[in-house]
Amino acid sequence: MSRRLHRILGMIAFSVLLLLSITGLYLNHIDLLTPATSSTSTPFAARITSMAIHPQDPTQVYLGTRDGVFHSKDSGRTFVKISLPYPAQNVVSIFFNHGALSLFIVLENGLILNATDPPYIWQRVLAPSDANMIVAADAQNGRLRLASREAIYQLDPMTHAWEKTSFTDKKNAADLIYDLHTGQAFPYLRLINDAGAVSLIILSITGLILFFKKKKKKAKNK
Amino acid sequence: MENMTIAVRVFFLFFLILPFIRCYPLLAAETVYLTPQQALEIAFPDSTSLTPRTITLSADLKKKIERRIGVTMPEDRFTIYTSRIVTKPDGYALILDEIGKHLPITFMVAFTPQKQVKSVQVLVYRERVGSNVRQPNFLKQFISKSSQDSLSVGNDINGITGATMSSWAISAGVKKAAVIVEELDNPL
Repeated sequence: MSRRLHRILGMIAFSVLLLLSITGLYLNHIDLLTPATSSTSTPFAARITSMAIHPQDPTQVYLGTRDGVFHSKDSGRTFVKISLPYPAQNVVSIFFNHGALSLFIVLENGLILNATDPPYIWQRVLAPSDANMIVAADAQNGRLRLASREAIYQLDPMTHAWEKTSFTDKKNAADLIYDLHTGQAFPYLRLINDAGAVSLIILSITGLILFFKKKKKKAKNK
Repeated sequence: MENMTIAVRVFFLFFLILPFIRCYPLLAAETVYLTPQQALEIAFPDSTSLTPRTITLSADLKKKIERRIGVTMPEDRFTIYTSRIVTKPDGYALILDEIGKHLPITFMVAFTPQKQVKSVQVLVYRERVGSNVRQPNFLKQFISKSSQDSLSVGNDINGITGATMSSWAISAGVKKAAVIVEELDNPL
């Protein structure tokens, strides 16, 4: 009975470990493993993360996705991928600066691009050096605001300096755990996580092979 | 049992040093890999003369280049090094600063007389993370490319995991250099 229970639990643990290893590996390399959209005219194959509508012409729609920025001139019926000077992977936010007609594109890794309407000569805005991962952004009258998981940053349009307002004085343990899981806590953790995940996959599969080989041997001996 | 105690100690030590490791990427570490002279000698080993020439772009030309590369340029003055073997043109090179994540990366792009990329070399890297953009496997992807190529990560250039923005910056910088060199009437 106990041996049977051990085997059942082992099989459950095997499935969970395999699933966790594969998904962990995927999350650590989401940029590389997410298939790029095959078409430059449809944003729907990529994950849409944000949307902006032109303040003066509502037929113009912009979509930020995991694989770039798309522009529609017919209220979203058709889209064209905008050519950007940098690969716009993982767009966190796309918005018009309220009060002005400049478009902002903010990427998760802190790359910020700003331009007026076509022909889009983009200007790079430097993100604050301590903002690890941008999660949201907006702008009003030239005052760009960014939110990371730790603070809100506000760009002074006159001095071009970032003012930081931390959310809490206590470090959130969940953030550290998340960073450990996704390999962002420190350099090369991704590689360590990868090695661990690949080892777990190999161990799970070889364990399963050994388990069935043992079973076959036992059946032969009988 | 003793092994177990060692494992527990290592585990706790890891969590003790974790906050310091988290600050590691924020610390800047300027590393000079090559001087301009060394980089030029590597790019043009047979050169008999290397002449620097400072070029100031006119407002119109600057705008034209910005439109082609799709991004504004903070600088309008560049020094172009011209290499010759006796009197025969051997190529030319541009040294650029391109912002990686937060700090500029200084690198040199060398061209053949046909305006194709001959080599790319990183001279100074300032950020703690991402210095592996110096890897020959990454830099050799630019060889033989010209301003007509996309020169962007995800298209004709493969980026580097762990140096995402640095590889984007180098690619954008090479494109900028290629366009500048093409737009200048007579760079040699």
